[in-house]
Amino acid sequence: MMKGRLFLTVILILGFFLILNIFPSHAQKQTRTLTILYSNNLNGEIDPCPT
Amino acid sequence: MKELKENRKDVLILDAGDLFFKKFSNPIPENELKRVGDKAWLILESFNLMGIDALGIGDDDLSLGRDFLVEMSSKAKFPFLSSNSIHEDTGKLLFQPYLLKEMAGMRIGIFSLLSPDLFIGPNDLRKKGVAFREPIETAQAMVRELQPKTDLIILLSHLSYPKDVELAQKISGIHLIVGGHTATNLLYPPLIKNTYLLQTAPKGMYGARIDFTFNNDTFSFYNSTEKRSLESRLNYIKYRLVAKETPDHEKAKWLKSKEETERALAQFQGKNEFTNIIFPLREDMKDHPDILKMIDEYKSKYPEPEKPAPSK
Repeated sequence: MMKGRLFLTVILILGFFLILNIFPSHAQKQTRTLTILYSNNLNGEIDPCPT
Repeated sequence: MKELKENRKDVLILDAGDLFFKKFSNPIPENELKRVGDKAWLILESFNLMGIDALGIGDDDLSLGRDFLVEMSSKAKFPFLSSNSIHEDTGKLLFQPYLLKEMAGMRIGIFSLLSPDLFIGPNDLRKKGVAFREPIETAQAMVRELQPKTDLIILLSHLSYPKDVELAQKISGIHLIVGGHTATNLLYPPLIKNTYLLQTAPKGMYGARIDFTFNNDTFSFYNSTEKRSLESRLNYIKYRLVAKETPDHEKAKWLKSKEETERALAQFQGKNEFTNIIFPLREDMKDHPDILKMIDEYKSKYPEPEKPAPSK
């Protein structure tokens, strides 16, 4: 009887974590990224910046 | 640039103009036209290889005239944008007015403006055959057109920095202005109403990169530098609170300061952020082999005149 309850409890806990992983909450929503490389006034320069 | 673009799908490469020619002061002499033209084609081919997404044209890009720039735009693998440059006779737009891109799950609209005030009087050869629609009115019309189609609006501006500030104050709905002409080095992009202004120094000395992290679906951001500065302050306060040399009567002050800083940091939680970096385009940066080859060919065709030895 005790063993059966323990088994059921373990199953319920595992099920709970499984559901959490399948349906991530809003807070866990994957973040998006965007990178912009930008330049201006290159003015026909084809040589690197002197170091 | 190419590697970043190939490895990630969410990279946008933009230029805000004055790309092909030196800063205009006088018309290019007849005997220089071929060399200057060849250099412009070399730059165009290089940008084709780099995979740039859009160029907003600048006044100096018209240094060899309207038809030359229109011809270049027809050979480019990326759009030349100008929402307000028109053919003087027909009134038709000379270049593509805007570009729509889908990236990082967002619809992005990019348009461009060139100021007629940047030309040296009515006889400036660069604007021969070109007329301009009023920039502020055009910006308003572009925002009206792009807003229903996009989530993020970017202006490639060749108006000059003071005019970018004025435009951001007058027109809402533009998220970013990537500016040019004045070549103002904006390491910490200023926020004017809801628009961030970006720009770098001149003559190909610097490139710039801005990285956005979206934690929610709004399009308002904070500069991650602000957060880092508060985090450093919090660490310092924590140090002062436990330091033996801090007198007890000062600890209450530091504790209050800690609570205030923690409150300020909590405000960033879940918000969108960006990091802006301006970096020198140095010699040790890896060259694209095809671009390097084209530059070597150009330099052997047009060797630079030897500089006179300094007088003793």
